[in-house]
Amino acid sequence: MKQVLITALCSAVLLAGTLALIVSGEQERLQRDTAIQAGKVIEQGARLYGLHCRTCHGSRGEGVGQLGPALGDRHFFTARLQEVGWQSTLEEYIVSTTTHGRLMGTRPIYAGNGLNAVMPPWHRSSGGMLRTDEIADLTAFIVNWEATATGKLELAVLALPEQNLQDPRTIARGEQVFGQHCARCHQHHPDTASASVGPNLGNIALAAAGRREGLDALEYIRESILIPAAHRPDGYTAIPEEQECGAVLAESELAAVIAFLSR
Amino acid sequence: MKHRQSFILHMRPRSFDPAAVSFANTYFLGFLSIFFLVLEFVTGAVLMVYYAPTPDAAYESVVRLSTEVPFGRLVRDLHRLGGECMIVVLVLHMLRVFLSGSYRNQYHLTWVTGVLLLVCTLGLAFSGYLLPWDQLAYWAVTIGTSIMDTIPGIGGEIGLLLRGGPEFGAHGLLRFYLLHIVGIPAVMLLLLAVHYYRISRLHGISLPVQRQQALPGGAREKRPLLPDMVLLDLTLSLLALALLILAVTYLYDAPLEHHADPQHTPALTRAPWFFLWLQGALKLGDSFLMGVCLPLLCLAGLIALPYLDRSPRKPIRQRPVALALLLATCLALAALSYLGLPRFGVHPNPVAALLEEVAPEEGRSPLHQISYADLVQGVYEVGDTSQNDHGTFSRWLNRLSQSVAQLTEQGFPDARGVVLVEDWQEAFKRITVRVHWQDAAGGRQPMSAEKTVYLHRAVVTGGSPLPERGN
Repeated sequence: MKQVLITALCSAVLLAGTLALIVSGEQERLQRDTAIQAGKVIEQGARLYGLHCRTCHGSRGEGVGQLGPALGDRHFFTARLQEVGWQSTLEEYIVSTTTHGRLMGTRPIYAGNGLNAVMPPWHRSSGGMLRTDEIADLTAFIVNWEATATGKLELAVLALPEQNLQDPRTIARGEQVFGQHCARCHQHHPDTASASVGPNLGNIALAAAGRREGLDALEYIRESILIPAAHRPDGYTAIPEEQECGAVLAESELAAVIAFLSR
Repeated sequence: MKHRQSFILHMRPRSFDPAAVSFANTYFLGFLSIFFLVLEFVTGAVLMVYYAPTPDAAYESVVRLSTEVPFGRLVRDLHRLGGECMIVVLVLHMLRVFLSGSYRNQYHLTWVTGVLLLVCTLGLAFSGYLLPWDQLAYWAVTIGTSIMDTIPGIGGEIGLLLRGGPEFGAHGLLRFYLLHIVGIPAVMLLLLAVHYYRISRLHGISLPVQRQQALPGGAREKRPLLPDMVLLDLTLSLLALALLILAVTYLYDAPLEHHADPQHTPALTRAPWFFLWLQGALKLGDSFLMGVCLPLLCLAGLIALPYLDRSPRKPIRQRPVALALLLATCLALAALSYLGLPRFGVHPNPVAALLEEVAPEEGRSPLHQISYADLVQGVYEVGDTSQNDHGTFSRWLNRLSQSVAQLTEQGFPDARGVVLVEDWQEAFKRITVRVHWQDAAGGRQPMSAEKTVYLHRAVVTGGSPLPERGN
């Protein structure tokens, strides 16, 4: 009987000792596990980045020409949120961008072709291939670039293929772009008199040739698209300030619409 | 008598036959089974508070147990290890009963309920296996339930019913969760009530045959419930609990692999150890015969045992057939389990095997064992002894060079290895292991294969903060 009592007491002391040991170390254990888990999440994010993001954003986040902006530079961590007017945190910006994709580029060089999204949506709910937890992993990996982010990188401009302005496909594409971006203010009829905000551009190829000293028709049209107020003909004072014209076009679209207009 | 009104005293008689509670006769295995059952109920109830049974949230909620919930990992480890221990204890309990021939006479039904309790426990282990919703769980259970599909006729329907669809998703997870926390435990409690009642109230414990004969009933001095028996139970519980807690603190971690991904079958799928024998059997033959008929046959044999073996009780030494049968069963289980190991019967490409060893899909890679500070950025030719000043990393490179050298003998002429260590981010490195060789068959074309490991310092050091050394 006495023996049993002593054994019981010993067991109780052993259990109490074990528990005391665990209780005293639990806070540190939580911190360690949290750090390990954060590390594992970044490792997993790096794997996913290598699989899905590297092609457009560069394998070290340096960005690739006109495909995708750098994610590992200082600009991304200091200026991007203001640039796009994002009110919340950078993490949420990355999660949101990855989840839903971006229809418009953050800067003109990423403007896309107006038909496809600049960045496709990646979450399954939007037709992508990533789960919520995978997007969280990716976000943790991208945010981890902050400490070693380089200065604002100069993006190398990709050499674009020369556009043949006589190619009927280019002209057809230009007509399409004109319809999407220019037709709100301009008409394109050879004969009718203008009755819209901007001049009728049906005969612009002829008219543009001698209008400015030292500019041929193509250069004149190009400048007018990029800066609508640069060569304003008399009588057209109402160019809306917010109208960007050329700023939303990709270089290829700009060339196509010039080809269409100078035909 | 007062105790007739007391439920607890009704469950636990006031006094016990000393032989029925001596370690030499029972090894306390019945008591330990109940101990583990109670432990599983208590820890399981705590886990239920934090667990979310949906595919989107399940994994995250299990991760949170170790990162956010105080003592969360302890409780999860206890639940997992406790469950595995329970299976061991139940099997040992059954072995003891078999060896002492205690399933005979009036103990038929006790034996049958005991066998069913073991089946229920395996069912609990199987259904609980899925709940963390990691790759390990998802694929083991997917393979497990796909056995059901092979039953002719109704198999497809059973599989659909279990999985809630052609593949596991939200419905399947919820079904397994409900089976785990309600369905199987409810059945188990009923079975346990019968099992326990027959022992404690009807027949008493079945003693080894020598002692049964030596002591005529009624002449023995009894041990009282209070304080003897209660103290004994308490001591055993405290001791077992303390040992378990020590084990999960220092020796055992419940595994958690990457989040389940139905689109990505892992390179190795491995059944839990208590189902390895089944995995081994499946490698031997038809899924229906080996996966459904064989286990059912075993179960039927176990249940029918007391009805088939009607000879009078004898010590095990005088039952050669039973002993031979037992040994054969144990050997067969061991052999099948060995066959069930993933490395058996699969011969991967040696280069792929080497790379998988260096950069395994799941778990920590060997590179995670290397001291982080020794991984200096650079390009390392494997076998080049001039770069030998990087401590643990150099030692690892030397071991790797031996494995690469063996590739040449395995049909990969001129095999060379290159390891690239790059600082990728702060406290984060990318290590690429590449193997080059000359294609023996196709005109000695240069070939190569590579795998990448990403290393975060916190994972390497086990989360403890390091003094700043270089990067």
